[in-house]
Amino acid sequence: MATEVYREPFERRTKTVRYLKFLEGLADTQIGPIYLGMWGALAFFSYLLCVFITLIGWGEQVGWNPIRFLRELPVLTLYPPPPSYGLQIAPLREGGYWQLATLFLTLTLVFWTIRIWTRATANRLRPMVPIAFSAALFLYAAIYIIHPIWMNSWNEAPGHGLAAILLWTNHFSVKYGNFYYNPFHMVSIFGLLGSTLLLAMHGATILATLAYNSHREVDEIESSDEGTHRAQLLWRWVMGFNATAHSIHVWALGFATLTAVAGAIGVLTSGPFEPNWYLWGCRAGITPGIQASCPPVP
Amino acid sequence: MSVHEGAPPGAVAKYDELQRSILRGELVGLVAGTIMALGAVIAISLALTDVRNEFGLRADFAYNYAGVQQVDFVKYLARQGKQPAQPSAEALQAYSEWVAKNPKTVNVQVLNKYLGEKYNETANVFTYMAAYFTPGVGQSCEYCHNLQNFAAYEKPQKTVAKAMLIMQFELQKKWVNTIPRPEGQPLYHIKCATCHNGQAKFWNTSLKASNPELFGIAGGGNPTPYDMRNVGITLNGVTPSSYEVVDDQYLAARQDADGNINFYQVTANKDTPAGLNATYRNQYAMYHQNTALGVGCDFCHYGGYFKSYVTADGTFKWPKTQARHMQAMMQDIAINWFPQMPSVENPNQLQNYYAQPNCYMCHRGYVVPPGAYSFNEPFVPGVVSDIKPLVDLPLLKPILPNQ
Amino acid sequence: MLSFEAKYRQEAMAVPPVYALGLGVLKIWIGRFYLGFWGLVALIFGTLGSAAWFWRVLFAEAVDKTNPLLNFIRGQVQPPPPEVGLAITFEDGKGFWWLFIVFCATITFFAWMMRQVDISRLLKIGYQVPIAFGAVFSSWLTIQIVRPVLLGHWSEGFPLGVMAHLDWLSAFGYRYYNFFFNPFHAIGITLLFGSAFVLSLHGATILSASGLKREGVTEENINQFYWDFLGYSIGEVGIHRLAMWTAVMCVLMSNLCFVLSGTVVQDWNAFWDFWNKAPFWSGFGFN
Repeated sequence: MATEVYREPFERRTKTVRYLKFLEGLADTQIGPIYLGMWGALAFFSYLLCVFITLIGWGEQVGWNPIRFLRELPVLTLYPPPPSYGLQIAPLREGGYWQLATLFLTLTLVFWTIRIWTRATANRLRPMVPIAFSAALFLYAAIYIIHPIWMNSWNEAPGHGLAAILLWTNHFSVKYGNFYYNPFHMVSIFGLLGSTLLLAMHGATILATLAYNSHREVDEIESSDEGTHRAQLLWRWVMGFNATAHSIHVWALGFATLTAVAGAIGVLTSGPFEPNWYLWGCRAGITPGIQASCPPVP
Repeated sequence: MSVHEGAPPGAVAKYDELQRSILRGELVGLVAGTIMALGAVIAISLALTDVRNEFGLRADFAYNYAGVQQVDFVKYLARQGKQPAQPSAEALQAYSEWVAKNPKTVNVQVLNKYLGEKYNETANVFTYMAAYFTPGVGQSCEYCHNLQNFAAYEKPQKTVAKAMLIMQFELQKKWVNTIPRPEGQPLYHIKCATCHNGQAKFWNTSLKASNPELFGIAGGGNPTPYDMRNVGITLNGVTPSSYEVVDDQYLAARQDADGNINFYQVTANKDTPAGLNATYRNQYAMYHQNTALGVGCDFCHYGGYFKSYVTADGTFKWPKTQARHMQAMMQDIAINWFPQMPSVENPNQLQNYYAQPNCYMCHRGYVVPPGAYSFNEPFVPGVVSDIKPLVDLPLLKPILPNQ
Repeated sequence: MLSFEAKYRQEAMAVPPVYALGLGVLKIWIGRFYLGFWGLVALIFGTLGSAAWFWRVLFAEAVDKTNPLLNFIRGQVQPPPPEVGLAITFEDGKGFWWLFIVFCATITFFAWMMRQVDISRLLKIGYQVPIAFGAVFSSWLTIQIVRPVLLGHWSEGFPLGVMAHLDWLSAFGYRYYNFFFNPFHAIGITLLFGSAFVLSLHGATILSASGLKREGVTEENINQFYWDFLGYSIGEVGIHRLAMWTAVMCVLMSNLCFVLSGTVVQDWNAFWDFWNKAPFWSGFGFN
């Protein structure tokens, strides 16, 4: 019963295809063929430019020393222009590299979304993946473009680098009071942790009922079979509620989208609408305990 | 006793086989989980063997919320493979001859002014010197003194040491004695070792070049070497201007609209224009304090809101108000005392350089500097010295509980 | 009851009992819930713990007398102060209620996991669900029990309260220098965002094909889409395997980042000294 796990492949393209033997028994082994197309090519080249500009900026900072480059890689950063430039175009070494890299990164993401859209429709699927992806794109735009424009300074955006993203996250939170008290951030984190929970629940449920072929979800949505029944009953008996093969994916998409969209709203409202989320928390009366730390603050 | 009584023959085995066949696919995950578990076990055993003491890294990690402990100065030196210095045999010999000739002091100017008549006895002065100068600076008597005539100012080192001693007492009087502190917290004393930590020359440009981590803010503009290595990264030899380095402009004491004096602009969102640079700068200055004292932010701050001096439950964060006081002392040293120190090369000339001392200079990764001393008797300030501060930097109005 | 449920309940009744799962003595359903021995344990301790928490927060230690909703948001049950150490205190003001609720919650979570094992067995399916739940249970154990025990006082646990635990987390992040520099935290967060990403992709993918069978759309269209798009289609089984292990590893990594803080690593920035001062950088002349 547990032996038949994979459906026999049909009409699979065989040219430019490789097989990853080590994935046998875990996941699909076929790799390729990948589709390029116009949007793919555009996305690829603009990403190449973005990486190229970033590497030039980083390379200059370490004096083109490859060993030093490796050592400093975690902290190498293309910084956005200093606040004095506002929204102007800055000289290359004073944030111009950052502006160019960000421009091409944005273009890459837009082209990539269009590419997913065309590929989905070409394969007769609804464009749900690009729609989901555009939620992440919205979060990106909020952080890198809309919020800086709103605050009239590119300096509000994160630099390009590994540590830079972490530092930006930290300092953005500190600058606007404390992001833990930002209600949109709370909702976003709820979505994020909820996503992980849902993912674990869904993944584990399907793996547990593999023997009954519950993983054929597209078929199961049409007419649910033993595997889905057992999966549904598991949750019904455990917690009194169960999703169906279709609705679990609606939950999934909803939670994941909520994360990005609520996060974007949280970023956009910081500054123009609320300069200090801790003080907002004090006004809303939600800071914990006896609120001794609320204003008047010395 | 079989717990499967009543089950059809072979049923249990069949179910178990089914479960096993399904779980086989999770092999990869289980291997990863095992690696995780091993990592956790290693971590826990590391914690139990207490590697912290083994390695004696930057911080002593003695910091906890119940109170702070001072690390022993001798232990601190031992970790660097050093021992406290002792007066040399030659110097002791010379001293015994000197004290026999002069039981009363000759030309002692500072100690007796600050600490009283007791230091008109040569023996008492020697005790003081041997207890604080020698281990603190790491040199025997002859480093400063002419062994034939202890009273003479022949060596420039003695002139410098005198100025330093005056600075030590003045700082103690003005800043350390006035530090706002909760009842029962001991008051520490500045001695030579507090800054020198057993080294005569611990603060000069050659050391600054070779030991950047010791001289973060000083002169170089790099606020926190551990935290902002990328500030040191240059763009063809020039620091990228898109990262505005902390400079004297921000380090200098300046008054804000409320009349408070801010040091190195430690305000995260007050008077900061658009852009995050001011926040970054502020954070690096803060990270420097983390590193220098070996503590987390919440040693001083309420983690929910950094600007507050009290936590949500009303606990007053004494270290925050103390840190503010200490920063003021740092500025005093930088503005008033360092420029007035005579130089060893030419004792008649003032060094007249601007250097920014930082927290690490004394704290060395500990909440209480290893070279600070704690006595039962308080320090009684004596007469004012012949060196006066250039600018009379105002004492900060301390922020105290229930204000 | 679902249309097909009766058959499975009958089947479940025939599954042989197991000692560890309570010998099937409470093999009954209450409405849609299955009870079982571990269900009863979870019910008792869950009710006790929740009742204690709500009583403390809404009545006994109410911070706002007028607005019970604010009490719910702001209220907290605090762990014992550091001087209590690892003692089991029965003093009201010394964190007894925290100990009580943590004890009840731990029993409840464990019972809940065992209950999932029980139900998985009755349904003749794999144990992946309790395994995944076990990961998050291990997180609770790590943060509330293992780490406080390693550090020697209960006060290291987090206060039980909606905003209070956010506050604790915020302070915790700044306590060991900065959690953003904690590499295990970074891996955990990457997996956390990765989870949301995988979930979003999987949900969107299935929804993009659902209900289109009449038009001849099958899983092969999805495979074809992913080959076009990424050059790789992980497959129907693979995606769920990836899903479960992304989520589980995220939790396990966060356990590691918690348990190392304060026990082994005091300063996550100094931790990186090993990189800055590694011997293989010496001799290149750029230091």
